[in-house]
Amino acid sequence: MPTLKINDQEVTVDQGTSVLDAAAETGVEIPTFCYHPGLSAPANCRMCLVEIDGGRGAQLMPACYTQAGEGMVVKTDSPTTQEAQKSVLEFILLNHPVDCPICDQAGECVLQDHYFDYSARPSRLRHVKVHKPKVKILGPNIVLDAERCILCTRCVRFCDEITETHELRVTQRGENSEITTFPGLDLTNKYSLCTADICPVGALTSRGFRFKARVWNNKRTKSVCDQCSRNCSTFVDTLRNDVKRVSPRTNAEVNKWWACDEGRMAFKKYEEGRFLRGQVRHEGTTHELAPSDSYHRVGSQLSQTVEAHGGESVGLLLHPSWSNEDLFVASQFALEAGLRLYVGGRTADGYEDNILIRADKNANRYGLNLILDAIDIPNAGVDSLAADIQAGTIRTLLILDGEHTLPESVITAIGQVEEVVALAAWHTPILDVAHLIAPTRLVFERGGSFVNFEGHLQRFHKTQMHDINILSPWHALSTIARAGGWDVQYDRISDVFASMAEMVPRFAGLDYQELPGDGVSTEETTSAGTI
Amino acid sequence: MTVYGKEGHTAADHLHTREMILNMGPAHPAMHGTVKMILTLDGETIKDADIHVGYLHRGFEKMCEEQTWNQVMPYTDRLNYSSPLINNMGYAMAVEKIAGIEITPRCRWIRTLVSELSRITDHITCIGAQALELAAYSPFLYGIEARELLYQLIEELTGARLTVSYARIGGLRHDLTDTFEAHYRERLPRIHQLLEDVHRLLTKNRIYYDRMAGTGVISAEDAIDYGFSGPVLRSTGVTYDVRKNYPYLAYGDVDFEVPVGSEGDNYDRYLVRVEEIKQSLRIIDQCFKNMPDGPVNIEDWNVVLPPKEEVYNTIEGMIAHFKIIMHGSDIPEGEAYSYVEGANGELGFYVVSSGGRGPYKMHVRGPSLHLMQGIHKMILGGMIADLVPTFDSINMIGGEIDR
Amino acid sequence: MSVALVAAIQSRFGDAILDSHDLAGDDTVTLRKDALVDVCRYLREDPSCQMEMLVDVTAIDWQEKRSERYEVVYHLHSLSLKHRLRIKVAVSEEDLTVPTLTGIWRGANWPERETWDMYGIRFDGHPDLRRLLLYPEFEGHPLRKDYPVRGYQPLVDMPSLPVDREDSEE
Repeated sequence: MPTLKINDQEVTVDQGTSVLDAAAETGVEIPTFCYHPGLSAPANCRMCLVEIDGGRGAQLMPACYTQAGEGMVVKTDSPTTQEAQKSVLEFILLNHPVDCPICDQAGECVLQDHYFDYSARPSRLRHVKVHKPKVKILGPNIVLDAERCILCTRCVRFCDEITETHELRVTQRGENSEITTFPGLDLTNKYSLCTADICPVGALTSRGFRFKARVWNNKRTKSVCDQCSRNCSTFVDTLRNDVKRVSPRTNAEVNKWWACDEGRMAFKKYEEGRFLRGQVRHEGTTHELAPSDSYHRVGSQLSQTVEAHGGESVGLLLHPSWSNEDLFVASQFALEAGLRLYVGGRTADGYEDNILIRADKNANRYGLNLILDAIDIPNAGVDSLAADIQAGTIRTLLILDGEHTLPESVITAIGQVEEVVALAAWHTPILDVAHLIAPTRLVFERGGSFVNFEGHLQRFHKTQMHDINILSPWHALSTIARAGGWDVQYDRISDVFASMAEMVPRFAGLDYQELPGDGVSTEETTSAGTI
Repeated sequence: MTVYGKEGHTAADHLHTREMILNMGPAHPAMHGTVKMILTLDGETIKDADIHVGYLHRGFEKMCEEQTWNQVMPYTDRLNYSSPLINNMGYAMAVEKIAGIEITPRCRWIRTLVSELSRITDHITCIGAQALELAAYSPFLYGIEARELLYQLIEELTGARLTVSYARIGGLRHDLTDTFEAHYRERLPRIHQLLEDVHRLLTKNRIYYDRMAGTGVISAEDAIDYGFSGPVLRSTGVTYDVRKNYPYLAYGDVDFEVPVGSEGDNYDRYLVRVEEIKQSLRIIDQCFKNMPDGPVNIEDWNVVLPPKEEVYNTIEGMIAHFKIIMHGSDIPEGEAYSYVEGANGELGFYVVSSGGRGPYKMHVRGPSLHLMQGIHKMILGGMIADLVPTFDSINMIGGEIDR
Repeated sequence: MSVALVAAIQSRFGDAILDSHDLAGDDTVTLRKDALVDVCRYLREDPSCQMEMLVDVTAIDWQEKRSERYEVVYHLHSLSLKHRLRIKVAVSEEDLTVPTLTGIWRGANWPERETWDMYGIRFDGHPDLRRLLLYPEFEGHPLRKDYPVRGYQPLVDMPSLPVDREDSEE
């Protein structure tokens, strides 16, 4: 446990800690470009050079690579260090193009920030800058501007160490060095957008986000991806109520610094086909309803069926990608009305890798299981649904959310149900057979909580707004239940969460408003190990 | 109960009088800049005055906490809107005081010059309006014509007459224009002529003198106790002028005198202002003669925008420009109270920086606020007809009080 | 000049001064709240100080950065002896009052009213403590850091703006 002095402040750190991390512990910031906590430290940018006296006189050494040693004296603000920082910045900026007005990175550019904070010296260049390819498509998601590249090699190391796909390399030499893909390869790994995240300048940028918005105009909200059971923490950037970009949020418990391309770009698929009003389909014609009317209609239709044929004749097809609150209210409703519960969802058997992507493409199956266990309500899979329909027991089916991946047999069976009602945000082919559709909100338009496959509960927040008459699923179900005459009364999401915390033992003691930003683990550690 | 016709009673014993409460303002021709005075009158005599201000409150100080250092500049224009350049300079000086920034010599002289131009426009407005309220319309128009010539100069230099935003932290928006001095010298004879006309119409005018002399009197002790400064304080005989007592910018290097009155009445305030205009013209002349050449802004790109050739052609200039505009300069932590001689008195800016891109707290000490809190001392016992010139001679500017 | 002033206060009211500095050349002392009136009276009346003018009164909201949330700031000026002083007094949320200085300088009247208006700090003994710049029905004290920049007041009725019932918790 070496003790060292950083700017006249003593600090004791674990063996193996870099001087950079030791300085961070004392609150001192040392600027870096090539260093990233998730990747190896190459010390090639030289921006973190600080004066370190390890016993043989003060020398400039890279803080990200130098391990803290006993008795070291580190000065991060001495004239030598400052001059080193200014010189490094001068070299980096020597061939950097004057692109700020057209560069996507402006406003979140590490080079801009470091130059302004540590240098602000005018240029001494009296020569032409070196030119390199400017709009080089590296893959389906990434475009390279080689002139802006400062050759920190973060992208190269990412592809080597994290995805292990080795697509990128530094080619040529000296001032002509360039990042490019290995001959014959494109940047096609499933995390390619992470290279644009970690690129400190605007060299690697997202093709989908290119020129769409300036970052300082965007409103940034904390959210969670719902495209698989990993539930990566995200930031959602919106401009004038449109989602422009989804980027990963650092969460040491869930996704560290990364997010997969597919999850991040999922918001694009919801741009077309939104249900903004209720739909009544009758003999080929579609007739639209106001959202509140559609909830009442669904409620009264369900209550008619239940009165005539009993609760057992109504099926409720849950979606395990809905939030805890949505599923809790749905389960309460099913309990109250005596409905049959089935669990559908997206495929549970998709592509999986050992980085982030999980096979189960449903966000909240863990939470759903906790809730169903706690409420102790019988439920079954979609095969049972098909069987029950064929047996004639199901007269009305309420499908929650349209994004179900169902076997052919189940889809055919659903087509045979007398009345198919749906509560969905977005149109999918399965809903073609629905007679009545009530609209609800997309995950971006509401808040709630998910539990990922490891039992980690996270809260996600509303990023964009649409019609305020379209309600979140938990609220819509509550309204539907009340319209049908059942006692399911929820008007505030924190009430839903509070009721849920009382009934579900793993949520006990949690408060919706006090959940930490990184989420909290719901796993109990008993003497028998984690459940 | 009085019985009419009783022995020894006069008509006055049977007149029921009571005090009347008169509401003057906020929308009133004599209430410049929206002020409400609730006067308790006994006939025409003012027994009590309750002054209500705040009709122009715009949340200036709260807004400044959300802006970057340079984004605050347009807000300062709208403080004393008759002399916006003085406000600009005062604010810039306060921030430069916190950061320890030393402005260039040429900048010091230009700031002095334009401050004096602004002071003249403010005094002309005050004198003209004062005359106008006393039904002397012509001197008002002559004054406004003189002011117009100066406004044209200011517009040539800064692009606007009122919303100038000329100062920047560390310097100015740009240097004087090439024709600035020439145009000033062209207009000067006409300005002198007009000021002379105003003086001949007003200063020895019987009606003007009767209305103004002896009305709105305040003693020096009261004035200091209430925090008065500027021409109002000087009219009572106290020699306090920030330019002389605590010289700032180039005021230590120019010759000028500070007129001081003796009676503390409206007439003295009028005379003080007239003389101050003459002295300001003297200062402007010396500024033109003694102004050194050189750069107007300091060289530090952390604070001042780089020149456009650098911004468009080098990445360093581009980044510096981008960061100063989008993020704001990082002024170190600290606080400072910086004061200048505004047209109405000591205009102070108390700025607190927490090391960020904008002020943590920004407070403006507008001289008119203190003048208004003491005005009841000047009007009590007088008549409404005396209130009008008194209120004018204070030169209350709503922007300064209410912010 | 003002250094001598701070020394004079120190020698007479030694324990009243909690802190002092002269950043940017402005001499500043932080006083104990209960010593404020005595020190100010001394500064006004003593021939070596003669602070005839109270220049300004305002306050700063430090929120959690300091243990006592507010700081009332006074600026004093002596015209005859040409020195200035800034006095600060820490005020906590639990005891949001400061003694008034209107007994020493009548010119403290409106600046203290403004500080009450903007920050909600009461000035004990003030003859007329009511709002100065804002209307009497105004709710809240706007220069406090927790008052939103775009705050709405009850008198402003905007019935046409739809309100999302779920919005309040997102």
